[in-house]
This record gives sequence, structure tokens and C-alpha cells, in this order.
Amino acid sequence: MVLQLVIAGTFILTLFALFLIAVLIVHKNKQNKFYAEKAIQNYRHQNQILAVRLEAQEDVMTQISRELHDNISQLLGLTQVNIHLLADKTEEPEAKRLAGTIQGLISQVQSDLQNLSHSLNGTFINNLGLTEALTKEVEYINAARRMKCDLQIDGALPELTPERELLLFRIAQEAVHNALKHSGATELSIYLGSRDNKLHLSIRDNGGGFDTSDSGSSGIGMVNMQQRASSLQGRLLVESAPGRGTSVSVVIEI
Amino acid sequence: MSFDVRFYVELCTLLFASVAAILRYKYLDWGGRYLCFWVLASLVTEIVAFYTAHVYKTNSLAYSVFGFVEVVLLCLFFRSVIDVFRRRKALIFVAIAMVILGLLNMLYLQPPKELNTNFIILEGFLIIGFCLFGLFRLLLYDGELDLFRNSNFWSISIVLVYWAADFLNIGLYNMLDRELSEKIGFVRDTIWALTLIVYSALAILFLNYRKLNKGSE
Repeated sequence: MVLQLVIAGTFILTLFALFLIAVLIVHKNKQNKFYAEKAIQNYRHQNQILAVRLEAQEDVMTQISRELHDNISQLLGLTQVNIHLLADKTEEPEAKRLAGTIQGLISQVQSDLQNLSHSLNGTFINNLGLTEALTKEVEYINAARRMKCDLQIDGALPELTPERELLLFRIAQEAVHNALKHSGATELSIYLGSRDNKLHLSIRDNGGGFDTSDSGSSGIGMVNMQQRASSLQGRLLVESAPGRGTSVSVVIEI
Repeated sequence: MSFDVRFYVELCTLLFASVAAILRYKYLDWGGRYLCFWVLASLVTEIVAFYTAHVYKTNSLAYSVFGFVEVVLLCLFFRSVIDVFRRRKALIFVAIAMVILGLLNMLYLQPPKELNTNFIILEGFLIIGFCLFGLFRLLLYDGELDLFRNSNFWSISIVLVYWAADFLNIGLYNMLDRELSEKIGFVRDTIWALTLIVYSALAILFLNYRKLNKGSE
């Protein structure tokens, strides 16, 4: 009887221990599943917030673009007509020459405004497509003669949605803008190509570069690029060092 | 199966676990290291117990002394693997108190010529209690935790299953030996089989320790 009790007790204790371990495993797996789902939800929520923010930025840029095109550009046109009329009413050769110079300058401002208006207008960029929009951007930079810019397109590019194309264009635009504003570079090259089911976009300059470990180096522009890359579910890589230029590249899954 | 054969099989298993522990020693955290010392102490105890059983016809003293070493090592083990005890000295005091109680038991209740089952029962309650508490703490861990890749989970589970299964057999060994001496062989075989399973499980744990901890990083 005692032996039977000991055997039964041993079995019960062992089963109890095994049962507890099994309960722990099941509960922990459920908990892990819950945390994984929560992380996915958080990720989706963050992406939604990001998308809304980027959409708001696009709206603002489109509004500015419209304002430049419909208002300021028209006013400049009107100014040009008035100067032309003024020049016709005077016989003074010096005044005529000055009026011609002012008209030339206004034409230049109008042309720059038109370029800027196009760059800011998401609908215009979507209608052009990424490749064409980048080509235009390169043309504007070269026309401004501040630096030499070239665009290299490698192979057949995959079809992307207009939203994704616009996000990629905005990243390139931001990188180009940073290079123009801060780098002091004389050359800028933009590469767009696809390999291994990934689309690669890189913007490289030969400017002064900066220390990427310096926390002050990541301004709003850099944050915007990061956000756009993450909205594309892509990876943004910024490589730079003082005196060695800067390379901004983004890789996205096709 | 004769006593000698059983001893050699157990010795081989213990040697396997000891070699695995020594080979992987540098990859072990402190919890794993205390388990490694526990296995080595078991190996020494089994050899001494075998020798004293042949020479003095009793090995109770060897197992009684091992009980003290075991309780100290397992208290240190729990201090390493249970988060709330890590920076506290509570388990060191528990280990000291247990050794004092064990010595008092040996002096006044169970002399060295018989197995100190009073102490073993107390030790069993304590170790099972700490195992359950350790598992409870893992349950409370707030975050993702892959138990299958957690060395603490495996080590606590092995110790728990060993003590849950062996608790009554060893704890009531003296009584069974006195009252059911013709059937004590069954109890011995159970303890022996369980020991083989536990030391094999520990050897596998030691061999996979690095992989487990790498996976849970």
C-alpha cells in the first residue's frame, strides 16, 4: 500500500510538473503571438500616420505650385507687358535698353518659376513619370549652371504606382536640394536602376561631405527622406565623410 | 541488473554530462555554470558512494554530504536564473540556513549512517518551490520570449521534473527501506532511471547552450 502511494504520488507530482511546463509554453506562445500582432498593428499605424503626413506635405507643395503658376507668374507676365508699353512710350535709348534688360530678367524669373512650379506639383510629376521627371530635374540643374549634373538609367525599369514614383522623386529632389544648398559640389550624378528585384536610386556628389555620426547632421530634410523611404518600405543609406562627398541611396523592393 | 552494472551506466551518463559541461563551460552563463558544478559534484559523489558502499557497506554519508553541496549550488543557480533574486542575498542566506538545518538534523535526528531524508524532503520542497517561482517569473516576463530558445527555461524545467519525480522516492527512502525492504529495488531502479534521463537532458542542454542563448538575444 505504501509503495503504491509513493508511486501514485510520484506520478502525480511528475505529471503536475509537466502540466505546468506545458501551460507555461502554451501561455507564452499566445503572449508572443499577441506581441507580434501588436507590433504589426503599431507598424501599420505608424505607416498610416506617415502616409497622412506625406500627403499633407504634397498638398502644401501643390498649393504653392498653383500659387506660383496662377498668381505670381501671371503678375510677372503683366509686369512684363507694362514694361513693354513703357518702353514703347519713351524715345530714350538708355531707358529702352534698361527695359529690355528688365524684360529679360523677368523672363528668366518666369522660366525658373515655371520649373519650380512643375517640381512642386505632384500631379505634374505623376503625369511625367519618374524617369522623365528626373530628366527634367537634371535639365533645370544644368540650366542653372551651378553644378554639372548627369542622370544614368540602368536597364528597363519596372512599373511603379504613381504614389511610389512620386515618393522616390521627392527623395531624389531632397538629396539634390541638400547637395545644392550645403555641399559646395561641382558635380552631381543620379543613378536609377533595377537589379535583383530591387529598385536602386542613388544621388552622389563630390562636395565637402559631412560626418554622419554628428547628430546635428540629420535635419528635417534627412528625416523627410527617411520617412519617405520607410513609407516605400525601403532602405535609405547616407554615406558621407568630410572632404569625400555624399551619397544618398534608396533601395526598394519591386 | 547488478549494482555494479547500474553504477557503470550511471557513471557513463554522468561523465557524458560532465564532459559536455566542461567543453561548453566558456559559453555558459552563471546559471549554467552552477549546474555544471552540480553535475561534477554528482560525479564525485557517485564515485565516492560506490567506493564507500563496497568498503564500509553504506554510502549514506556521501549522499548526505552531497545534499549540502547540492542545496548551496541550486540556491546559487536560482539566484542567477530568477530575475528578482539576482541582486539580492536572500538565496545565499537560505542556502546557509539549509546547511545549518541539515547539520542539526545529522547531529540530533538522523545520524550519518542513515540517509538524511528529513533534510532531503525540506530541500525538495525548497527546490520545487523555487522552480515553480522561476517558471512563474518567466510567465510574468513582459515581452516576447521564445521559451524553446531560453536556456533558463530548460534548466529550471529539468530541475523541476527531476525533483518532482524523485521527491517522494528519495524523501521516503529510509521508510521504504525499513518497511518494504523486498521492494526497495523498484524504488532504486526508478531513481536510477530518472537520474540517467536528467543527466542526459543536462548534457544536451550544455551542448546546445550557446545556440539557445544566441537565439534568445
